[in-house]
Amino acid sequence: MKAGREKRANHRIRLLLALFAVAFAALLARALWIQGVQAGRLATLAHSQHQKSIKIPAGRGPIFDRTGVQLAIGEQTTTVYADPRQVTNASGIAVAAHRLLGVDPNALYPALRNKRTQFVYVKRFADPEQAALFLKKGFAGVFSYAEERRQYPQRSVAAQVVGYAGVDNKGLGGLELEYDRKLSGHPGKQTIVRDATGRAIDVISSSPVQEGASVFTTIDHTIQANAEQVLQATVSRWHARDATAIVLDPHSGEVLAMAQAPGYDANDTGKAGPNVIRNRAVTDTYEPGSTFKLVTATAVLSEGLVKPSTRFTLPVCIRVANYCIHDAEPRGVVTYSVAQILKYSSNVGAITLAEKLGAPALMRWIDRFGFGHATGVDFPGETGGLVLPLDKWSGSTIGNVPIGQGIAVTPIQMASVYAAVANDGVWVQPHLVSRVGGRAPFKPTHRRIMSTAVDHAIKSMLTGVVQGGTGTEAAIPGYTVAGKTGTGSIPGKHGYADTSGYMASFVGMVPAKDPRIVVLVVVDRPRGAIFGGVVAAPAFASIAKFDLQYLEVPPDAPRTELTARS
Amino acid sequence: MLLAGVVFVNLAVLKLNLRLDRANQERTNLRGANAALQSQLSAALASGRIQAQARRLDGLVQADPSTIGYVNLARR
Repeated sequence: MKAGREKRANHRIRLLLALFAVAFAALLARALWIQGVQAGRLATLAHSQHQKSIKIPAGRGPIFDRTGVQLAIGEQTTTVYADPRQVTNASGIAVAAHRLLGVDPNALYPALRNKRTQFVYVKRFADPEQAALFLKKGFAGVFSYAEERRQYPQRSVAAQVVGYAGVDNKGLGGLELEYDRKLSGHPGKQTIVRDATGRAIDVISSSPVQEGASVFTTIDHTIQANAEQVLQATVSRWHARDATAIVLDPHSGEVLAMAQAPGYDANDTGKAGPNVIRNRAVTDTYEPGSTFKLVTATAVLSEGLVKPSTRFTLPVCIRVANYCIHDAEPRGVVTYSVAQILKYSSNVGAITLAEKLGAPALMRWIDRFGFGHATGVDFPGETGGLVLPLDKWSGSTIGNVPIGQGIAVTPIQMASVYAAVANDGVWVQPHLVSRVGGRAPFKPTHRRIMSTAVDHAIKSMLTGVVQGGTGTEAAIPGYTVAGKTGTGSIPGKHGYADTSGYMASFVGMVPAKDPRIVVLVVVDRPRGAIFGGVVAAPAFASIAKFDLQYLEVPPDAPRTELTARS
Repeated sequence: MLLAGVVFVNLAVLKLNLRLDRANQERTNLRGANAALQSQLSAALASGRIQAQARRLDGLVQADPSTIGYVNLARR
């Protein structure tokens, strides 16, 4: 009996042992399956659930003017998006988005109901506070991420110079494009471990973010804003197509203002047309007209062919090939000195000088002044202008080029040439940026164009232009102004006989004795008057007068101030 | 003891990481607020706006440059 009971008990123990053995074998098999065969897949799954590699975007560097005022800055925004497959309350989201984020609910609702997509913007670049209020509602399938949006707090001031960045924060125009690499910086990378609520509980690896560098321009926002105002008034006054102005520091080559009208709000680039966005001072060319006579005069003086006092008897018109070219104002036969040729902007006189010089020498001097070559200003899309090669010159070219026709230049080229005159004959490369991340981005090149003696003679002749010549409207009480008027004819379909308008310009320097600024004004197709001395010279005076006061430049000719007051 | 120590250290690391996460979030928010304030400041510094405000509120206009006198100390 007892032996039978023991036998049964042993049997049960063996059965239990067998069950345990099977169970352990199953567990072992399962463990081997999970940790061996399935290890890779499960590890990947766990990684994807707990670990996350995140790209830390680098903040785009700000762009400052020379006084430290931001012209462009990155603002933090929150982009709210939804996954329609996870959305359970589409109507609630649409109503809340309308109330808190100003989204059109009629457009959002159908998008949220579309279960075929997994991504719908609820609101891109939303105000962070408003977005936080919206996200607090805890709608299923609604997510967000931080995004930077480029802002231009000065709006239209220097809009064409600063340029713009796209929605993905990449520079697409102007300095934003030119310095995009430096402004962008380098994004950082972090691999983190998250808990069940998504909070980061550990950082496995990280590479630091390198923020975009700050770009300091040479632009002064006050000088720039004033120049833009003056140009806007000039465009309105003369019903012109547009106008451009440049204010340069002739000694350093720094551009203090590069303005144009009409302007546009840089925060609303999409509404501005390509013609308005373009920085004409660098990318567009024009036939300069008489401001180019500076080149002809400098060339003949430098070659030692004439002196400023050398006199020429000038006929009513001068025959070149099949054309008889005359001065802008009707006159009889006159005897003008070289200085008077410039003072009264005589076309006949300038062509006479050029004929004395000869085409090859004139061409050499055009090249020496840098026409036909880009100045190298740090702005994208600069053109070098259009200069006809000597072997392409026709019989009439010597009658056009010396008076600034048949040649196309950019406003920045012309301004930098006059800046060379202001800087004792040394050309300095114009530039728009002084520092990038604390360092100068490049060293502006210098080159002597003319001797100091010729430079002084030219400066004196240009002073004569404003004192009783064609540029009297550019005079500023208290200061001596040296400059030159220009009225370039825009050729029509059949050439200059069929002109489609004029480019009125004035370019000058002040105070003439030791110039602090060079100002160029170009007005495109003014109506009512066409001459640079009438249309552009007053704009020059207005811009320069403000700048001299702003820069605290003492007058160099108190007598003219007294004369002007009396 | 060793096990208790390891657990304690791990908890401390976890706490620190959570604080770090919060601090990072706060830094991002502060940077955003700073950028927004700088943007407002720059907009407020626009010379056109200042001139318009001065004209509208106080009747102030830009002085005519010819009315400004300069003293040349070098000659005296």
